[in-house]
Amino acid sequence: MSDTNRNRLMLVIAIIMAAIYLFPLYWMYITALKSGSEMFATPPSFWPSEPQWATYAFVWESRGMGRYLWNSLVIAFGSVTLITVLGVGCAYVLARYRNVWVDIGLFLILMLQVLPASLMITPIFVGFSQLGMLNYPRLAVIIAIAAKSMPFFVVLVRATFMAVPQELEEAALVDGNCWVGAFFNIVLPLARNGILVSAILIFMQAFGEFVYSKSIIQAVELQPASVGLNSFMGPNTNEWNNIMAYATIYVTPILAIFVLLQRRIVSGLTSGAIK
Amino acid sequence: MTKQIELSGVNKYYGAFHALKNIELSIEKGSFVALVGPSGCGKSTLLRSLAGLESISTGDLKIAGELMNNVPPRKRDIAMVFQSYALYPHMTVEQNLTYSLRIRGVPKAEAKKAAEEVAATTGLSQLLGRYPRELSGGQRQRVAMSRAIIRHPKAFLFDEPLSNLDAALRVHMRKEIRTLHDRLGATSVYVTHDQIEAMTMADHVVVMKDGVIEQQGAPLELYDRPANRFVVVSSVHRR
Ligand SMILES: Nc1ncnc2c1ncn2[C@@H]1O[C@H](COP(=O)(O)OP(=O)(O)OP(=O)(O)O)[C@@H](O)[C@H]1O
Ligand SMILES: [Mg+2]
Repeated sequence: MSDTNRNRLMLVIAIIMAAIYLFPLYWMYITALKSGSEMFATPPSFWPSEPQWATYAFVWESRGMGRYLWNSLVIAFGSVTLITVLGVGCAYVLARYRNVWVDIGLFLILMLQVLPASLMITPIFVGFSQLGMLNYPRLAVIIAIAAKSMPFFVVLVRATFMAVPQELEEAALVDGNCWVGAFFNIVLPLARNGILVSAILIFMQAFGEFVYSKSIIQAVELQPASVGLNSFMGPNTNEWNNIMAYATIYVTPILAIFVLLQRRIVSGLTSGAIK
Repeated sequence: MTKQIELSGVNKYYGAFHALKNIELSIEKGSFVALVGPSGCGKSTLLRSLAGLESISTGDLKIAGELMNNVPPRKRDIAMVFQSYALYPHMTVEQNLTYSLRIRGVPKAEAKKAAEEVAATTGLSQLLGRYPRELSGGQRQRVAMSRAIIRHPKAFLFDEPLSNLDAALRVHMRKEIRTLHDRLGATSVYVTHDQIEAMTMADHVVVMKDGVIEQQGAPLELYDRPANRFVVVSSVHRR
């Protein structure tokens, strides 16, 4: 097979895969706009005949989405802040010092990443309830998410720090700075892109987090949008258009962020973000 | 003559590895000293110990008569030119030059003036607003040099500063560095594994091997009475 033919074949395969992967998203967007009868038509229609834009306003009002999204934002920002503040220092140490203990630390960090949230939630729940943390459920979720996502962040940011040559720091030391100053003046600005990208990825994860929020937050008015969406669906649900409208409102901002920043995100992840 | 740098009985261990063995060296104020030797003999280690980037395990290190064993780099008042230049990529040439001054709290206007003066002597006046990535290799080298001389340190340390330049530029820069050294009345320690460079630039050549100083003296002295094969090879190269 010639090179161009092979490239074409690869492209076709890629498009098919993308179509399969993106189909649910497409289905969500069009179902949200369908009327009640069109939704259940057989064969299903692939484009809404009369788009029902009013569904959005109705769902936003009736489900109190403003409050849910606000809670999601609080949890996501809280987690990102906590992870960034703690994770940057951790990643820096792991990037600069090489010995057995660092290797062991890295191994343990990666171990944490392997454990699924649904497994971790039981011990976390018991621990939090004994500490009285369940009285501050959103804070408890923020801490739980931070523990869960920290490894991912640390591993990414560590790679960014490793791409900053150590000689730059040494030059700053000889130039008259202390190592704290060298870190803030030299290393941090150069690692900024990588840290930003990792923080955005963490934000998107935390914004959609479900398992911890569902288990820890009992009070409806403190629940994030992911839990709100789940409680919308029951065994006898038939208002799929409303649910899809909810989902659309929930994920579109995240998708928009990703599409807008995707070039930076991809290059930040692969290049260590240094010019 | 006063001694600017004095090392006595200096040993350096990396774990069990003995990198510097009983180094005795004194460097006079205003002299240009070249450190030569095969790869891995400890030249960079010695230089980094002078800068304070490595701590010495035993022995005494004095700079301008003061004991410096446990003094951090920022308090040694020494400038270093790295092989990779180590220019700060996110700062313009001017910001690179004035970084050391700004840390010391020199007023902005004064720092700017100093940068302009230094840039004029090193031919960088037109480039002060550029970022390092927008410079050629030779220009980056000049920025690294200028960044070192701007604050009149007690000594200059060079770690193979010319090895990234092409042959013609290297010959030119050798002369320029030596001229600069003489004009500033500076004290310089210059690491190279190019024997010609050592013989032509330095007043005093120190030959190292496996962490030991094998021989030291004026270039001609080493040329006439080589103590070992490495020194002979150096002399042959010179012909
Ligand atoms: N951080 C370190 N840990 C352990 N050993 C080291 C370390 N740095 C240097 N060494 C060892 O010390 C010895 C001297 O290294 P050094 O970098 O001083 O050599 P050099 O003379 O500068 O060589 P080159 O001409 O190749 O730069 C080498 O054998 C090296 O492996
Ligand atoms: Mg070296």
